[in-house]
Amino acid sequence: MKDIWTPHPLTRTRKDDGAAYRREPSVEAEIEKLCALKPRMRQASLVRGGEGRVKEETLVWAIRECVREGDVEMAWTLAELLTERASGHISRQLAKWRLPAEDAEDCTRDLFAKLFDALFDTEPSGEFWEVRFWVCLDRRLWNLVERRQGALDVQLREAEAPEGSESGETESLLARLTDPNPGPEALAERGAALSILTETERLAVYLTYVEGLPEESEDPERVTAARILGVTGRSVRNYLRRAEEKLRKWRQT
Amino acid sequence: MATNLKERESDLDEVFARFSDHPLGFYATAENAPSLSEGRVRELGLGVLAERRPALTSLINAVKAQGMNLETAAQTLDAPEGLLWKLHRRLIAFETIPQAFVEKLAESVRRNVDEISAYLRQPPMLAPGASYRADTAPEALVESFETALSNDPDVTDAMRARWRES
Repeated sequence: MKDIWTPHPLTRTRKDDGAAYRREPSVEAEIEKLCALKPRMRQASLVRGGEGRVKEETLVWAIRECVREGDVEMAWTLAELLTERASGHISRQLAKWRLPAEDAEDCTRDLFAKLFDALFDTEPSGEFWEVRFWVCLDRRLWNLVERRQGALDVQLREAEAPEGSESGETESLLARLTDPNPGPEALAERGAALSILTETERLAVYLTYVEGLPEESEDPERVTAARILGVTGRSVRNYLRRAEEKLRKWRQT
Repeated sequence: MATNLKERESDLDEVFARFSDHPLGFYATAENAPSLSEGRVRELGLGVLAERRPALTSLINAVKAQGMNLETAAQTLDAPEGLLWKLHRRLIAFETIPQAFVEKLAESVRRNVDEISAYLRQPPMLAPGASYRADTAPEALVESFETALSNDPDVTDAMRARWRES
């Protein structure tokens, strides 16, 4: 391991406001501290558990530094640490879906494969992992589970109603749910309304009504709800329709 | 094309970050019983990791990656430092090494027993930088675990007794 490490700044910029990616101040502080340490102390600090352990984004940065320097052994040791840390979180996230255990296991394996691909890739396109580790991990898990769930969801798909029915009334329900300045009544009902929607339905509603993303697009560069969810545009419409139906029934009770 | 895909992945991550941060609380927490325990998830993750991790090429680097040096690793293993050097260079016949020692060594460098065993079974390494005049490289002297312990001036009676019993 090289004696001196330099805290490389991130190079990418955000798509929404053009601002440069920035790590959390606490992560920057940890990186600065680690760079000032001698190699053995740095290694000991990185692998330390319990109180004073470094954040996950710092570990991602350190893994990439090790890869750049050719210290593969250390990089994999840190990846192992990250695996252990992420396990509890992944278990809790998987609980949101109720997948059969065998499918949950497949998703977990695929997720770890994606995680290791990302950790050992030093290209700038992977810098967001150093900014929001858990967000990056959750989105990939979400996509994997969605694909698996979609395959299992045959019965619901068979029972699906024609697209576009009764959308006038329910769109106002969804718009009300996502109103950024809700009145007291809307605020009170919002928590209850959100709780009856599944994870995917909530995300579909968010992407379409809050982010204003199109359900799908033929332009491969365009960010769409379907691409975030890792499903087809038809599936996005189905999620929205189910959300609408649930909300309508909920309003009637 | 591959770069474009990665760029797009990053854009999607940004949107997902805004979703998870949204004050309306779209991003709910789990209320169901987990379909996989934390332990099982860890086991699966470490399995994927083991498939991808390159084979161990240096015991010393493995020790260092744990934030230790040979001295602290020797203390952890309750063995003399010289023995670790010999193990690093595979100068100890694998079949003479007590299984309990291999297990403890694997545990201390966070590798599994099979990986450590595979490393220790490889042919011995000559000292780095060694030069020789003969046409063929000289053979490194391989000894048994017990002989190595007996010949090491830093070995204590307690160490000898511990590893002889196991």
